Amino acid sequence: MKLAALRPAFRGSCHSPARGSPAATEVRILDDGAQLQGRGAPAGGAGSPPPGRAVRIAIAGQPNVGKSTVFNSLTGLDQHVGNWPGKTVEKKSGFVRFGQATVELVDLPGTYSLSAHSAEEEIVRDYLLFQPPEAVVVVVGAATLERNLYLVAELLAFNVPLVVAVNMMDVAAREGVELDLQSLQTALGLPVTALSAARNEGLEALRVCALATARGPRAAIAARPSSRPEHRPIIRHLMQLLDGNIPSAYPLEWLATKLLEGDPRLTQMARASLPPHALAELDRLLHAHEDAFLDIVGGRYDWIREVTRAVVRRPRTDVVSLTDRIDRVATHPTWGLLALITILGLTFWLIYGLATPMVNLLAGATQTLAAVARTALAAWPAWLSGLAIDGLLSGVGMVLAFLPVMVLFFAVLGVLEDVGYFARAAYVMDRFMHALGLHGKSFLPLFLGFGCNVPAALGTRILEDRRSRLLTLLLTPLVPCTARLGVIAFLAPAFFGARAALVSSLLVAFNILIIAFLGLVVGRLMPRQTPPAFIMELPLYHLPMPRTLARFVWHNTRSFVEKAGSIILLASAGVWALSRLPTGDPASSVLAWVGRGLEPLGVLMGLGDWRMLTALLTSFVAKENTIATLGVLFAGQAQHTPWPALVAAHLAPAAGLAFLVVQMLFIPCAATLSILRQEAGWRWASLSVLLQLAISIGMGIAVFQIASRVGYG
Amino acid sequence: MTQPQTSVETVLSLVAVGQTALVLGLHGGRAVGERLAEFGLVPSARVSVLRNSRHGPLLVAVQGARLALGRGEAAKVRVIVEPARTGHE
Repeated sequence: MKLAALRPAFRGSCHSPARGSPAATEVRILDDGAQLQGRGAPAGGAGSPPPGRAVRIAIAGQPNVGKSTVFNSLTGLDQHVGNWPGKTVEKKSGFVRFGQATVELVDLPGTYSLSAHSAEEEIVRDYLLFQPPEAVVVVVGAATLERNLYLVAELLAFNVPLVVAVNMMDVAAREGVELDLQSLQTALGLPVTALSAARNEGLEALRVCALATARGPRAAIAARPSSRPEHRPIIRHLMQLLDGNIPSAYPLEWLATKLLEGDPRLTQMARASLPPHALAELDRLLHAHEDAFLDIVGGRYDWIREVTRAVVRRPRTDVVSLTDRIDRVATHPTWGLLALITILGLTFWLIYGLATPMVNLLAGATQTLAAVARTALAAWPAWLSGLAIDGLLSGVGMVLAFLPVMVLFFAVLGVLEDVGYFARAAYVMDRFMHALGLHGKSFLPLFLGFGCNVPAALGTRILEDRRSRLLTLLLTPLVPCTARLGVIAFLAPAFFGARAALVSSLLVAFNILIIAFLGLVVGRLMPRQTPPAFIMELPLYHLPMPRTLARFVWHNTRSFVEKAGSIILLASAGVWALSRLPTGDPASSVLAWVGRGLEPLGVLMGLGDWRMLTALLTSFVAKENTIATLGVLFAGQAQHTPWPALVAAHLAPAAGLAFLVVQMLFIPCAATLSILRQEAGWRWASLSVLLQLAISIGMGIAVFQIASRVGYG
Repeated sequence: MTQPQTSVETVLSLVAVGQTALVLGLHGGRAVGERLAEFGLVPSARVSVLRNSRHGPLLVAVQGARLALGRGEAAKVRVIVEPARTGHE
């Protein structure tokens, strides 16, 4: 009943019934008369030269539909990653061959709708308005079809050919959801293809279909959602007001509908372009129909119900799916929390159990290598071999030695995110985050912070209100990242022997308590607005995809290795030079002079040795530098003993503990600080640095004083 | 099995686990309402409550997807509880 006239406007059928086998696809390209022959030959071996210009196809979709897997599977490693102009949102694109055509694939940010709530939604909207591609592939999840079609309903208002790619057919099958895609295609009047991108199924059919749609006749009129009868005269009236006054890129009816929905950015644009009398009329109309948004959004869902009526069959409510079964525990108020703690505990245990022996092995190998190099480079000038061995090898080598910790940690984080557990953790933590005036979503960036604070700080963008963002940004750099956990993993065994794992776990628990306490205090001080809305999707569980996982681990590990090869290399050389200049004797070097200046403070923490303080200072460049600097400063004297033991020999247990506490809570690293400044401004970033400086030193002093008094001096 | 509260208007935060309700409309302004609506909590949508304890957020199924919904947000959704039956579409 809400369907506009349904005309089968596209000529070929893209629907591929049985798991998207390419043979089931018949597509005719009408403009050049040629039958598309591309059958799994993406990399240009087909003979004839590519047509002059690349066909531009964009990929859109709501979050959690596997859009990036689809994009990655279609482009492979041939991706260009940059930023959307004027925005700090990542833009991925790539040139690929679809059959014999060259296609530029553009990955649009994942968005639930096209109302300008966020930078992502504005990007998608502006892209479709001002650089319309030749086709848009909208990825929807098979098991969550109805909600995912909401984006399709919005996209239909643009004059861009659409292909609907129904992904995660395998997940839907497992959850007992049955789909009739032929009926969906008929009801939508849009080409539909079936996909299981994770299993590489249906990709070829999608290539063929997308290309055919991009090149096909432009007459495609799908079954669009229409506005409610009572709103039609208002929309017509708005269109009359707008006609001729606004840039021609905006489709009139779409703009009128968006104004009625109350879109702030478009309202501003329209108000700025209208002549005074029309402006008054516009304001009057919009004011009189302020509640229209519910009907307009509802109208899109009415359309969805119409088109999916004969398409989706869900299992009866008493059938328990895999997701239900896992969620009985994972989202339970008590068991869910225990599950979260267990998962975190297991993660650390796994890393200590598996990675630490490897780290020690690699660190040992580095020292052996250094010893060999010392003999081999005996003929070199002392300063040059010193720089190479004590500076670069001991610094960078030590940092690279805890690569296993990184890889393992990112692998665990990647799995937890990929299977869909993250959202459950946020759900369970919501009630605790409320104590800070935050909600569950704030837990996600904090959780991510265990990997690296940089993506965690960027991750605060999922929070809609400024107060939540600022408070979460302030807490994020206090989360001990892999680099800091690596330093602990490296030094704790030397400091505490058999009790290293216990002490390390306690340190992490202590750190989490500090974060909670700081959140409580600062949350009290920040003016509370109305509590932010908590609406979050819980994706269906699915198996982690090795490719997505490998990409995640590789992406994060690579940036770590690059850091080791660039700033840590430079910092190690710099630290070495400053520890030798001007006399060549470390004890009278520039660095020693700086470190000694700080000694009065250090003594309070049991860290009277200038080398320990210097290590802390250099950790600002990158947290791994703590190890690199200690390596440089101690390696020279440790020809035979491993240098961590030498460090431990210099420190009382209480001082060792204080050192680990301070390095864990110390100021944000340079990369994190730059993100803090970008996201929250200089004042907030400075506050963050000062606060952490005070907390770390205060805690360092407290821990040392207490520990040495109870007998660990 | 469940108390037949049909045709009595209530809000989603008061609907018990296992029950299904029909959305009538939204209380409150556009700011939160818009997000709720976009996630599918629109008039005549059917919502199943999967988790609802006295404190903390609800877990509901709507438009084929699972949503975590703050208690405050759920209290803005006007619903009537549907009579219990063995299945729904």
